Amino acid sequence: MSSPIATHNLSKAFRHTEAVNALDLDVPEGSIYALIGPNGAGKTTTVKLLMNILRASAGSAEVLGVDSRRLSPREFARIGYVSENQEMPEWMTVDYFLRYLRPFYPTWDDALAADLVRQFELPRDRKLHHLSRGMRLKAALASSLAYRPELIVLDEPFTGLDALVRDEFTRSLLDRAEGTTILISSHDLAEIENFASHVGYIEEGRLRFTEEITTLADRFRLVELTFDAPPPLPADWPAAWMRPETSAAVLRFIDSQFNTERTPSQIQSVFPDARGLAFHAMSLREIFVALAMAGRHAKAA
Amino acid sequence: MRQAIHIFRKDVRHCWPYLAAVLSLTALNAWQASLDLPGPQIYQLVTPQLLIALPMFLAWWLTVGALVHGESLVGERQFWTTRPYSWKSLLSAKLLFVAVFLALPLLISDCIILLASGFNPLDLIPGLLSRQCWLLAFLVLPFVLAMLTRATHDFALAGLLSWFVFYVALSGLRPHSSNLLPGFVHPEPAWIDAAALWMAPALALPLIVWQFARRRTVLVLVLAIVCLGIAPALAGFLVRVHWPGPPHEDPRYAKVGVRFDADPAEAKPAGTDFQSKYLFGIPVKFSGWPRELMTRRLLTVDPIWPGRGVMASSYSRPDSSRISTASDGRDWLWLGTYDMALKAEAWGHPARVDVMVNMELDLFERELSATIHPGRAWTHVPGFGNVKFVEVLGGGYPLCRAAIHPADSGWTYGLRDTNTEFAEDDSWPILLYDPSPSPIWFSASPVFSYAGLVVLASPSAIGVKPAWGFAALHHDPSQPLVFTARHLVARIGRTLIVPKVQLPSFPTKHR
Repeated sequence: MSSPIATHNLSKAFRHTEAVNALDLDVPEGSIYALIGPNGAGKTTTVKLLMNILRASAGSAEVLGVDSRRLSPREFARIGYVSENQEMPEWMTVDYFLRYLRPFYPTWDDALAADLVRQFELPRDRKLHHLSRGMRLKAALASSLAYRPELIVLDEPFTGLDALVRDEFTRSLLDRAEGTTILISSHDLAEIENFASHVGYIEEGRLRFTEEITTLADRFRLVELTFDAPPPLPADWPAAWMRPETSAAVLRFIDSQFNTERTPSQIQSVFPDARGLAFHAMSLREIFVALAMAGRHAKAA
Repeated sequence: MRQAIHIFRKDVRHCWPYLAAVLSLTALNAWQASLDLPGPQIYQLVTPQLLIALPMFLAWWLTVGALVHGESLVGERQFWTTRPYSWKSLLSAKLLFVAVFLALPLLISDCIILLASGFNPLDLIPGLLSRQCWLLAFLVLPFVLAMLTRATHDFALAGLLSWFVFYVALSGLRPHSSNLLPGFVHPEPAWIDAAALWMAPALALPLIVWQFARRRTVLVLVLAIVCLGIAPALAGFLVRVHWPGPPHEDPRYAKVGVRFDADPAEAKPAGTDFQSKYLFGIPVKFSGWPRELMTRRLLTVDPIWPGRGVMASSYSRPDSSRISTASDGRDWLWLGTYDMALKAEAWGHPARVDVMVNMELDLFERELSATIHPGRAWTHVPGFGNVKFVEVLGGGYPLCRAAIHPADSGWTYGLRDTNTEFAEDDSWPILLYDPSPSPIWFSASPVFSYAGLVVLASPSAIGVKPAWGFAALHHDPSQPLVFTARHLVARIGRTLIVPKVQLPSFPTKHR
């Protein structure tokens, strides 16, 4: 069976700016795929291309096995899409909003909708216009979970939400969407780290890497070397070692291809004078920052 | 269809303030038009009709704007674009809304007004449908603008700009007297307007479907702007191409000639007519004139300034421009003019100039007449509509109502008191029917069908009322009236050069 989301050479240019550049993305079925990257990397554009909100300049995307340009009501009935900056029908009350959407979805579950409203503590009679940002997002999420979609696409859902709301949001998503494929674009790496199964790093419209989050965590290590004197950096510095920093007789860098067996010997061969060697596991946020900084430096160079 | 009805019900809930305004105004319009009021005077600027019509047009526009903006087609953030909406259902819902809440109320209002005016709506189904089509044509522009804008203020601004562009394009197509040739029967501006109003939706409908199906806003916007300019041009072109020209002139009237027949030096000072507009009397001599026919419609009077040519033209006023015969047997051309430019340039000018008068003469034959007796019931006048007396404070006025548009194109009408001493030719009838349906819409112009080219309903079918009332003035209710219908039998063009005229010296009191 094909992946719920797959892109092939997907590109989108706005005049002279390549927002998405030859993107090849594959989101496995049942995964929670986090699309991460710095501001302006092309995450939201990618999501909009997938949802047929924007038209691709080149390449193609398939969503639920259908060309994204041909997404029809039939496919949208199986997709739940929530975006931080989505324009809602502000004049509707929460209750009417859910009642209005119900006939659009053959799989709508009234009991689940009611449960979500209760769980999110959404005021049924209040107009969406009068809801806080967090409440509105919760209303959008409730309306996107109530029909048990096969695919959930979340575009920057945590922006501007306080920690409590984020937690509620995430918990509901995980509770209610078990087995569902979820694509989430976000800056909030700490939040994502807790539940994402896969991660794709996008920068300048290009997908730098995509892999399971566990292998990513295994692959990145902060390496700390201790010397007797400040060490000179070798001319043939390995490409996988990022952001080298020296402080007195200590050298730190990030190894993006860490391997328990191979990396120590590789370090030993490059730095035979190293007196001490330590490896530190990295959080997703630290990995993301390292990648972003490395990208910036490469661009500046 | 189920989804369309679901969206329609949501729109009803969303647009209820607009709906309330539209329905209230439609009801008010029906009530006002059903009263036995004399109707607007021709040159009355602010009329009850205008006070209702303008808010109605505005309410229609704003309702369409709110309706389409309910699911805005512009932008990338609308919630509905990632929901299982079918564009066909969405478009159907919007059209259903327009049909149910804009078109149907107008149809009901039309029927009420027609019944109150003594007409059976079932006899006027083609006219009623024609008015429905006009309404839909009128609503296409706001529909297109709404689907290309996101907010009400953008929509309002786009509306103003569009009307401006539309009318600038139209104004370039309207005939100007300076480029009219003698004998050339020019297209009526009203018909160009009407054709343009039809052309616009014809061009816009594919854009509407495309935008709903694909939401290609920028491309559709460019095409819409092009259509906005093309529609009047294409309409004007088609009207001109198909307009009957001089070859249609009836050879029986080829011998009709006219020449200047007075010594201008003997003329008396000029003045103004009863409505403070300039009235220009020219003594003429007609030859070959079929006396059994009457005429109306004189065209332009153009002073030819030495070395400068025609500087300003003045269209004549149909109500005060006429041909009459004085007691001494001399014929007079009476030209009432609106033109203030002519006033400044010519009327006050002491120099003697040649004046070119381009005449377009409609020759009417008396065919039908009916006597209207005092009473409350409507009297049907064949070829026109219904007339009845309305009594007020010991006096009264005859109220004339025509349905949809003048019952038959190429007719003109006169009301004459049986007790008057007016000449049999009705040269000064109590009321000469002027089928202006609305101060802000097009005046009727039944000429197009006269030549056998009935391609559209009369533009007078546009407006918020399907029937129009006119009242004769100063009527003695004890006297019956004779309502005469005259049929247009020929139109001829003639040019008269009045040499060396001192314009301020023409008399105005002559009848």
